[in-house]
Amino acid sequence: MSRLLIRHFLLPMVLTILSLSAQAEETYSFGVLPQRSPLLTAQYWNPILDWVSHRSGVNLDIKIAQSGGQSGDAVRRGEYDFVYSNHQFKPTAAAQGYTVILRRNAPDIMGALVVLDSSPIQSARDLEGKTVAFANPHGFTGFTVQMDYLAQQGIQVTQSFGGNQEGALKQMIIGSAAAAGVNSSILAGYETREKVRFRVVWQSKPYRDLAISAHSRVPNSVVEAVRLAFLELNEDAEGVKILEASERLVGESTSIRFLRASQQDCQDYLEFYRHNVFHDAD
Amino acid sequence: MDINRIWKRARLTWRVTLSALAILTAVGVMLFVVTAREISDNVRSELAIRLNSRATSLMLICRNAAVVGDLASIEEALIAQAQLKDTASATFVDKSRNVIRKEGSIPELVAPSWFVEWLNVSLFTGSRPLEVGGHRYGHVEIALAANRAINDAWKDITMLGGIAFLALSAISITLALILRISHRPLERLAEAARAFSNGKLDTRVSEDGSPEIVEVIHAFNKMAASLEATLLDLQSTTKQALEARSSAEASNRALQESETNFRLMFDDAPDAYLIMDLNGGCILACNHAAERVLRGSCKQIVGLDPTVLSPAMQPDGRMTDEFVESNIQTVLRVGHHRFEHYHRRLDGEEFWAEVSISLGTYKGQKVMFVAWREIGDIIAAKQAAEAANVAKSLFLANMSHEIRTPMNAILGMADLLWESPLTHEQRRFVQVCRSAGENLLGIINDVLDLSKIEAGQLTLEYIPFDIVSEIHVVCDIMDVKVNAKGLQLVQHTHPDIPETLIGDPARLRQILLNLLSNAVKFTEHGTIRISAECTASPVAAKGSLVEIALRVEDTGIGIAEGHLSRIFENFVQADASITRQFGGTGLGLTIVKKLVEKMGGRIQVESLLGHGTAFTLTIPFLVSEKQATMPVPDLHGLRVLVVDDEEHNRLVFRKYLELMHAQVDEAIDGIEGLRLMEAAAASQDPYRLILLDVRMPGLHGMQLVELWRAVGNPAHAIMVLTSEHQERDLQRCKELGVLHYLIKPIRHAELIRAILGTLNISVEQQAMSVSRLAEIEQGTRPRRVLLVEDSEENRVLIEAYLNGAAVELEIAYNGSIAIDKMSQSRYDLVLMDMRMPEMDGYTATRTWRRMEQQQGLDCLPIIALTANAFQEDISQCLEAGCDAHLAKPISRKVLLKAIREHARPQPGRHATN
Repeated sequence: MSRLLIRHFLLPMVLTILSLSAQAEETYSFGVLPQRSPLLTAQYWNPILDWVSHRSGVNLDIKIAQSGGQSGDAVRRGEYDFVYSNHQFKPTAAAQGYTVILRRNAPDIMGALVVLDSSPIQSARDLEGKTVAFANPHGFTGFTVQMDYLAQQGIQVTQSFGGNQEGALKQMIIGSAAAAGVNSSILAGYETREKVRFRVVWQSKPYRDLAISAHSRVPNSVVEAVRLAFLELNEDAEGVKILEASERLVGESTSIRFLRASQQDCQDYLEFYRHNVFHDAD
Repeated sequence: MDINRIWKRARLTWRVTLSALAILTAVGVMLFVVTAREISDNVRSELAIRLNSRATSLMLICRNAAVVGDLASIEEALIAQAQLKDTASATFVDKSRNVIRKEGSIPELVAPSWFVEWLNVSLFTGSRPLEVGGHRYGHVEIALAANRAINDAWKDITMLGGIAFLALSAISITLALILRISHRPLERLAEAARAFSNGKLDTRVSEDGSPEIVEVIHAFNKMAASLEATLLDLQSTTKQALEARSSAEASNRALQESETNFRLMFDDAPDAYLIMDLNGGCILACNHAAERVLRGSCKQIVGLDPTVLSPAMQPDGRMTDEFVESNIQTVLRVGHHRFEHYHRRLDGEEFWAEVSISLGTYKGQKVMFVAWREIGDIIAAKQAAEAANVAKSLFLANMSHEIRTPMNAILGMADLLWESPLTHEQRRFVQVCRSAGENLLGIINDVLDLSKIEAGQLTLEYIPFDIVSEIHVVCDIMDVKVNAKGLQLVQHTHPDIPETLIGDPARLRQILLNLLSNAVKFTEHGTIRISAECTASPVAAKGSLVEIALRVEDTGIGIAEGHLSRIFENFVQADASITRQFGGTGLGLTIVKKLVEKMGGRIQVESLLGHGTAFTLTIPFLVSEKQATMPVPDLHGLRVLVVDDEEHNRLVFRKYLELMHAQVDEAIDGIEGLRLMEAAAASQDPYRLILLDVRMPGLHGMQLVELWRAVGNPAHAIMVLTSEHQERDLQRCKELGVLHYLIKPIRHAELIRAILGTLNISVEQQAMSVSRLAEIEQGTRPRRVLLVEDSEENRVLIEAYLNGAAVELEIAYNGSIAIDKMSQSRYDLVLMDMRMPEMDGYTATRTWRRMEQQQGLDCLPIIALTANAFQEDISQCLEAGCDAHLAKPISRKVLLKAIREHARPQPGRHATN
């Protein structure tokens, strides 16, 4: 009886406790795609990750690369245990086995090619041989989808990079480029703020915002603990305050909430990379 | 102790220099401490600011790198920081305690260790955490060394110290030099003081150096001079004292001799001498003659009350006590006195003596020396002479009365005859009669006056009077004669003359009338001027006396220089031809001279033949303590125009008006006057007062007023002045609106009253003053006058005089009848003859005055009419109660004037029947 009790109850319990204890001692890297400056990105994510670490009991160490390209490289090399990005959907990173566990409740975004409302360019075809401005060669809805479309249409353009998507719009406004490739979210905000009228000559299908994925090497218990903590963040009063502070920091208009997600929720990215014809981005 | 001794021996230069050095050094040390502390604070503050800045900067750089794990960038930032000035080290420590440190280069300390310790500024370190979004990545540290700042501070301090040392040295040297130079005069002063104390009294020190030292030297020199003078004075005084002592001894000897001599003379003098104390209460000494006269021994006499040496009453009825007291008061006031006194010897016999008293000193006290001389024989002779004199006086008085009374009738009748219709020949006869009568009267008056003066019977009055008014009166009297000859009479009295003097106004009037009569007599054309002013004589300086210079000058024939000395002799005129041509007895100037001398004055004459004569009288008068004050209006800035062709008149008016502070313009004739008046009116600043003479060449005064009024100008500011009264002029003035019509000579007070009236009173009041003047001139106001006169001739004469005048005349033949009439009726005036049968005028007047007093009646004006012109006669009339005196013969003008002046309406005293 006592052996049976020890074998079936006490031993598994002790092993579980020791396992969790070992997990608690280990630190897991959490890579974040720097959509903004590394410092602002760190200011945004550090409070969230500290709270999640504290709640989940999993030590998360934020990792922010200098640029989106470096961040994509780190994902492709599988350096991050957890990652908030969309580079994990690229075929080059597929081998790492990142699995989507969470996503934000942000609206879907679309890639677009825009010209000034007064421009004689009426369609993407008219961009043939023209210069088109982009943020950088690593953005998905700010570069890859537009270039893929132009490639599929056989339209040759000259690329010009403005550092970020608003920089690309400014290059077009001053005449350095005939058109700009930006996502729908950036475009709407700029038009409202600067009172400049643009005309969309092409727009992609909608894509989900970035997602949090876990590397296949991370134990499930850890993954679940982290996912559970992110979901509790939405409900906890202190967690909501942290989320609201991060919203104010970057000026987001929608309330950030983390939702449980799976690989299926990001099927559009996988579909894109399955059929895309433009491969110069990475 | 040693320091004290050294300090006491130290010269002032060293004391001041060392003190200044000590003070400046203390100040320098304090400044050093304060400056160093400030530098220390500045170093701390600067390093703290720099540390804060650098640590923050390093934190910001390393934070970005730490977020992305860029250690290379962190190391680069540390190296850059370490290379900065004053950085000792820059360190990065990550959250795993991994350290990256970079050392900086620190300069060597130059400042001494005590200074470094005193500043107490060691290494400054600071750290900053590297924290992003609440997540700590590690921290950075910065260490700053203060070596460079300490070295800079030491450099500044040493430089300041050097400058302070140099300044201190310069100040000390300069101070020592200044003191050294400044002390040289003091050393000279010390040497001089030593020399002075050694007896070299003329020692002086040259006054140079700083002002303070000069002041000290100056004080020393002054003190030395003063001491020298004092010592010399002392020597001189001592010498004089010795001399005075010997002189006093000589004086004492002389005094003793003098006293001995005096005693011998006093005792053996032929006249009786008494020495009495100052109050006359006791006889202190007497001589042998006094023993003989009083028939007693010296022992009996000394100590007596002097009153026992006289009967209670003097022979003339005066009480001896009062008489003696009066004489003593005179002695006390004047210093000596001589009088006759009736005495009584110790044996009771009475006798006359001439007494001479003088003040003196006897045995150190003030006494009276009384000398007696029996004059029984002289008194008898005197009484006989006085009786003869009384008889002479009575004779003269009777003569005066007896001659004057018929003369009054003769002259009066001649006057009336003159005013009646006459043929040319008759008028010439009457004129001769009047002229001869007046001459005769003048001669009689002169002879009587001279007789009285030479008989010593003339006594002067000493009563308060207004000399200016007297001059006006004599001018009024002479007015007719002056106008008759077409002359101008100008008077000027200086404003400084006191209002009221003590003297004999009647005799003064006589003097002036005499001189003015002469002036009129000997002047055919031109001006007669009478003036009076105070002289700055020594007499005036005494305060109670004032000397008045009266001057009468004419533009007549003048007197040859050779005759000037004789004109004051009896019955002498300058030239026999004068008597033939101008008449006169030659007594006038003799009487004038004697009267002036009797008054204590003197008379001088200046003359230029053919040009005129000027008599100047200088007479002292007592100034009355009760001065009438005439308010002088202040016409400050008032524009006044005087239009008169006579320069003297303009001058007189200008002086009067300028005394009132008026702004005076003058015009020499009517044409210029009109031009000035028009110009002033055109400039909106017209004349507020215009004094306008009537008789002027060219445009005369009345024509000027007519032209002025013809263009609508008002005439109320114009005062018309005339030398001769013309009814038609007065009437014309009224028609033209001229409110004041004044007859020259114009008295000062009269002018003031007229000006006040013109400027201040209402138009109605001004009109009233003119109407009153006209009324008086015309005699339209009825007066009830009682004439008391026993002489039918005089009654007829006065009735004739008053015929046509506004006078209701009643007659009383003697004093008794007059008293009855005055008791039953009320009169405005009584003309009282003083010599009448039954009851004379004196008795009647006294009786009436007594009745007035008993019954509480108002005082009825009574004018005495006498043929006696002597002062004592006038005084007797006034003592009886008369208000005024008229000497016969009386002219119509004088009578009417007297009635105008004295008759006043008696509302409650009109006839009751």
